[in-house]
Amino acid sequence: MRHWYHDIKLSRVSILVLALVLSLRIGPAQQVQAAAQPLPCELRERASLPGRAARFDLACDLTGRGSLEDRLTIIDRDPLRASDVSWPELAGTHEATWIFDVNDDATTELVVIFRQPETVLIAELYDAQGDPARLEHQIDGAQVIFLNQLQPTVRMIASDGWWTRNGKINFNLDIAVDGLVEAAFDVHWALKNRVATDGFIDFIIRIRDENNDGRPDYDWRTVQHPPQLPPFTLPRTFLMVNEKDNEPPLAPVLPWPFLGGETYYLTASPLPSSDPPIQVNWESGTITTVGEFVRSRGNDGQWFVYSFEEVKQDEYSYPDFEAPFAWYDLADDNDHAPELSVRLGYFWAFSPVFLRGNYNRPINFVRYSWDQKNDGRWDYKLALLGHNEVTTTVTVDDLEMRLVDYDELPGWVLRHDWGVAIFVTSENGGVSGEGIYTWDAPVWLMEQYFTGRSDLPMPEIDLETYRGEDLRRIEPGFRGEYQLDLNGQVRLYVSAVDRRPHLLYGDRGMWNIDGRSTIHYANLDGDKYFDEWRLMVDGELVRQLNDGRDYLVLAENNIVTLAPVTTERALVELVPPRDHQGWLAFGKQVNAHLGSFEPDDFAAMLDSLGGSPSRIVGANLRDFRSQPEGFRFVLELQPGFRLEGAEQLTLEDLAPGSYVVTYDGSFSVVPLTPPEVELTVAIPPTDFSLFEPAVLQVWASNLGSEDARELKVVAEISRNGVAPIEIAEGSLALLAGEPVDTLMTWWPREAGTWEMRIQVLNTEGRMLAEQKVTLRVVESQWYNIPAIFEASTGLGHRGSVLLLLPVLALLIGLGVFLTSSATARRQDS
Amino acid sequence: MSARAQLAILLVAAGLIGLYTLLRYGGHWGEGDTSTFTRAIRSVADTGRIAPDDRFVYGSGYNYPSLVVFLMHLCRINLSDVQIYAAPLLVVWLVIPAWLAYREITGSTRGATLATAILIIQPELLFAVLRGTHEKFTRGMMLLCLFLLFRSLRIPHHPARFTALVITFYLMGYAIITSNNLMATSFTVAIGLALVLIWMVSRREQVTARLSKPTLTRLGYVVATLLVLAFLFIFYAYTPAHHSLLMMESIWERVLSMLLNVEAERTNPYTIMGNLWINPAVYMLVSLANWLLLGSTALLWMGQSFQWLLRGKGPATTHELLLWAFYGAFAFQGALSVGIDISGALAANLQHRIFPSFAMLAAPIAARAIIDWRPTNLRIGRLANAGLALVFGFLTIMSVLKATNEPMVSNKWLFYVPGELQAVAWSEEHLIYRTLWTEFDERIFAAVRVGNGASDIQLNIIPNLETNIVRDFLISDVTRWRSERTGDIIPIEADSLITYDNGQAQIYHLRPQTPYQP
Repeated sequence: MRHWYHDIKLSRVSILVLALVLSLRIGPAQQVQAAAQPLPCELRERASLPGRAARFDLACDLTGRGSLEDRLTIIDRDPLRASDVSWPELAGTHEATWIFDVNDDATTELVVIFRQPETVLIAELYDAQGDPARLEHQIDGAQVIFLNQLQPTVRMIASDGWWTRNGKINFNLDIAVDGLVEAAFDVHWALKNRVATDGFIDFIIRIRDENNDGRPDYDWRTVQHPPQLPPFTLPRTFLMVNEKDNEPPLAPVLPWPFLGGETYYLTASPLPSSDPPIQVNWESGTITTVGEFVRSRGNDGQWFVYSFEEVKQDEYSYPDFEAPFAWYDLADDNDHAPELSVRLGYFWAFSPVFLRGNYNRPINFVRYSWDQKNDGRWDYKLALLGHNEVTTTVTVDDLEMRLVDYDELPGWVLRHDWGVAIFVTSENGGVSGEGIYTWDAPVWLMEQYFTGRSDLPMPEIDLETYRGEDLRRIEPGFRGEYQLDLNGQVRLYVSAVDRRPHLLYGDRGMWNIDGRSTIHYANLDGDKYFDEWRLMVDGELVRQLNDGRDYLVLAENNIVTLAPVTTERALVELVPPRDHQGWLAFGKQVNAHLGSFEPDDFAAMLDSLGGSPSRIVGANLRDFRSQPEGFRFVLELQPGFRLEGAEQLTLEDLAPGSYVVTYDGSFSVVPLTPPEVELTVAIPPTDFSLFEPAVLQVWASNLGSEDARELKVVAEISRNGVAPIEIAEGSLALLAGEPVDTLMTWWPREAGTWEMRIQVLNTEGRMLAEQKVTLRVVESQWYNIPAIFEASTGLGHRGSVLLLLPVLALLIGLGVFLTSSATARRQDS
Repeated sequence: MSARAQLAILLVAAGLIGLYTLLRYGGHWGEGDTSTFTRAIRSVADTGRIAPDDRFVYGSGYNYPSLVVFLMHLCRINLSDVQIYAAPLLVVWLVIPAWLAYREITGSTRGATLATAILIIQPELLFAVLRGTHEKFTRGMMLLCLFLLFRSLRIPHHPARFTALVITFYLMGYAIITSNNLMATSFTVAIGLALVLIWMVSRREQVTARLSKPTLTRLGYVVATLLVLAFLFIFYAYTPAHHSLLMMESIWERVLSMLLNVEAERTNPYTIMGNLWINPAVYMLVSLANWLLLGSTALLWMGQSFQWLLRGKGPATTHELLLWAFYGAFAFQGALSVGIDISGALAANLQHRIFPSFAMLAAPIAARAIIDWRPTNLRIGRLANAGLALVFGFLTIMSVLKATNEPMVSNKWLFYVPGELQAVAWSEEHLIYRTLWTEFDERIFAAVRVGNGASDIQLNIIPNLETNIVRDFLISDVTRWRSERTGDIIPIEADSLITYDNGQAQIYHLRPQTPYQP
């Protein structure tokens, strides 16, 4: 079954589109669009109708073509009496019917019926949905009578009894949407062909302006899940809450402010105002969208919940999935452009949405992005995976939810422990959108490794063809680091080596500078800081810098440089920003320590930190690795090599060749010897049983001084001249002086005497070591018919069971014989 | 032998079959459909509603769960006892509607007795009715419907009795619908097909035309009325039935499910029948009763069809005509469902349940043939009867072995050893919220669910590895036997830890390789 929260994540194309759209909307005010203008209309004819009613025929420009070629007919059953009232004042919205005819061609695209039963106001919108005959009607006096049986696509109720009052818009509204309308994020694809305007409400929307200031405070939507879809296919609840009460003012284009043309927004209307949320495609006469009254994106003081678990009124709810997704004004500049975006993805233990309900712990997936430069583009991002349970309650009106409070959320993230932490920086000027998507926790990592299903943090796939997110590659312009077993709070630090912020306790990382040059980071000794930088250009290693605690070691252009270092490796440890002060402090500290050298200028890094270096000209370095007391590497001295600068190590009397350099307080240099693999196999003294696992313990050690990293272990069995069958294969890294042991399992399927051969092979397939053992497999003690019978029959019943069958057979046989016999034929009923 | 004696023998035989089933595993058995129904019954028992919200509901009908809840209260026994002990013994009830129907159809008590005997030794049917599912009651009600239909066609001139029979027929029909609406609609469709067959024959010959006219009218009313009742049930009376239908993706699947009584997402019996038994020859032996019935009645029916359709000889009685038509209808349904299954026309694997319905109509055909055979040589006749008795005896043993999935010849075992459930109980207490692998299929899982009456448990017990995080494995002697029998590898590692051992069953725990593995 597909996982719909993955599909909620946008495809690359839609990310680009969304980014493009949002790029116009996030950032300083001068970058956004102008507020909408009222649609131009001119009164052409006014007529009185029976009763108090009046009819107004107007020529309008609904589609923005620049001429008044569309018709709007208003039947007002309670019009203003003054004769000099003109558009838009003459447009009644209490007891009136509006009929829109685009192109004035006698086909109706939209009808809006306003009613006022008692104290409430109701607006019912009927759209043509591309069918010119759908809204055919007759006007009988002041009544508009549809010729077809119709249900309204949108019904809006203002219980307070007003739409607008003295320029203020009423946002205490209840809306029902019936049909395939974009009224909730990313559900359209699932509802297509499953919903229609048929009288069954598909979206229930509640908008509230609790302090009645003419700005909506929250927008709560519930999607009615079609019964044809498996449960939990779609999120049910979409709740948007504006904490700062700074929703941009709605700019009406019609006297009824909620209706307008298509502006193609669902989640964020262009600033500085909000376009009318009920959007009509005038050409086809289709209500395409009911946009969010409180925008989920495109502001800096709001949060939203998109939840598969339904949030219900007057009932304690447990929302999941994006619960919540919040935006913050870290710059405190009230420019509607957030500087912090925190997306807390959450599934409860046994959530049916996650792994089909088969995961027994709560799981969180966080994206924590911030704009440090305050330029409307995201600069940094933390992606986190954890098992932190939410225990707090948030109340919105009569909705009570188990949720992290908006104000607490950034601190909640930074306060809790996380299992997986990924840190990403956008090095080429930041990105727009909901945050930095690059290196969000990959699906495999979250569903397989982090849940414990797989030992592998990354799948065994062909990266050339794989389109999904993977931590073995990163897009150009991004730098990413990760620690898959953090199990602590997430923190950063500024490295003294490259002067950049890094993930504290990070394990691996990479910076794709320009698509060709990539710097790979590693933390070889497992402490807090990265200690290896490797520059690869077009896949080739160009230079390498290692931090060996007391020394920096640089290899480039056939020169190996060793420089003693005494300073701390972290210039400062940082807490990611969660509020304005923290944001200011973070920026200050990062900027204060930023180096002036290029990211791939390792020599400059070394020079800025290291003391008097030794340079070995005509030498190369490989297989650098940390050791408990220091480090070691293989030094390859070329003919004519020489030592320049300080004498950190002694190379006199050494001929060109390969050497192992070891540092454990002082340097030692010894000739390199090739890997010499020694293999030992131990088997239990007893015979093996059929279908029981045969366990063998295998020890391997490398008696040479050169590490052997890419070895293969193959186990085969054979017997009596039968061709060997490979039963196990695995990879092996044998470091010099560090033996390994492992267990191998074989499931024998035939009894007899078997010979097992275990080989260690190098990358060329040459055998480096071999061991043979003889295994005896005996017939199982388990499998025999009497044992099965005894086990399957209760102790006191064995005799009865054995007796019953023949008795039954006898009875049936006798009955058949007596019934079918000749004598029986004389008897009949 | 008097009719009472014959009936008594049949009742005792059915009772012995139920008793054997019970004693064979001593109550230590679990079966997939039984566990599913146990869950559905639990929902009804806990809530007092036939279709409770947010609980598991059997989408095809509420009859059986409601009936069991009634029995639980009436007899003061718990759900697991009903499903484990009462269910096999209740097979006895099937004899009565079968005998009544066959007496009406064949016109003789001997025919009724023989046909009932043939029926209760059909392994496909036996397996279905010995379990804790609706089928024993649904099949019984079908037989009662047949009885009522045939009887009413015989006495049209007795208005009071006729009316009573007709009313009872429709009540019984509705009861079938509420038991399993898909079985009911396919049954109705079969009646419709029988109507078509009768019409075809009536065109051929005048006597038949005269016999068939009232029958055609009556069958027409039956089909129409039952379909209306089914429609009302599915779309109005019982919304879970509607939802079950909507879950099928295509309209084609929905139509076929109603016509052929198929349910989606079941294993395909054709592809696995070889794997379920120790070898195909054993499978043929234990299902021999099915094959003999199928083969012999097919020949008889075709012979009859030849006589009527091609040679213009008609049936002697309405009942003969009806029986022929019903047989043809069910046989056609069966052939159609087999053909669709094999062709893979539908995306889901479908399991048909047509054969038991077919057997219900094939049994009286076979019985009639036996009764009508009158050898001129008495000695040959006696020998033949003796041989027949021996065959029946043999088939009885084979069929019971098949119906109970006798582990000595079957690879699909239903029994468990007490140590296994003890291990599960231990896991429930000590492996909270973890997942326990319990062997290669639903054996333990079903046993636990049936055994505890589908009460909620914290432990997640699964046979399927692929979609779950499984670090704990229940391995017992039974598991090892099955591993040897089927060649399936027990999925533990050499260095797995034994965290529990009660002598009969062990729990192995995979060593964690990452910080995120328990």
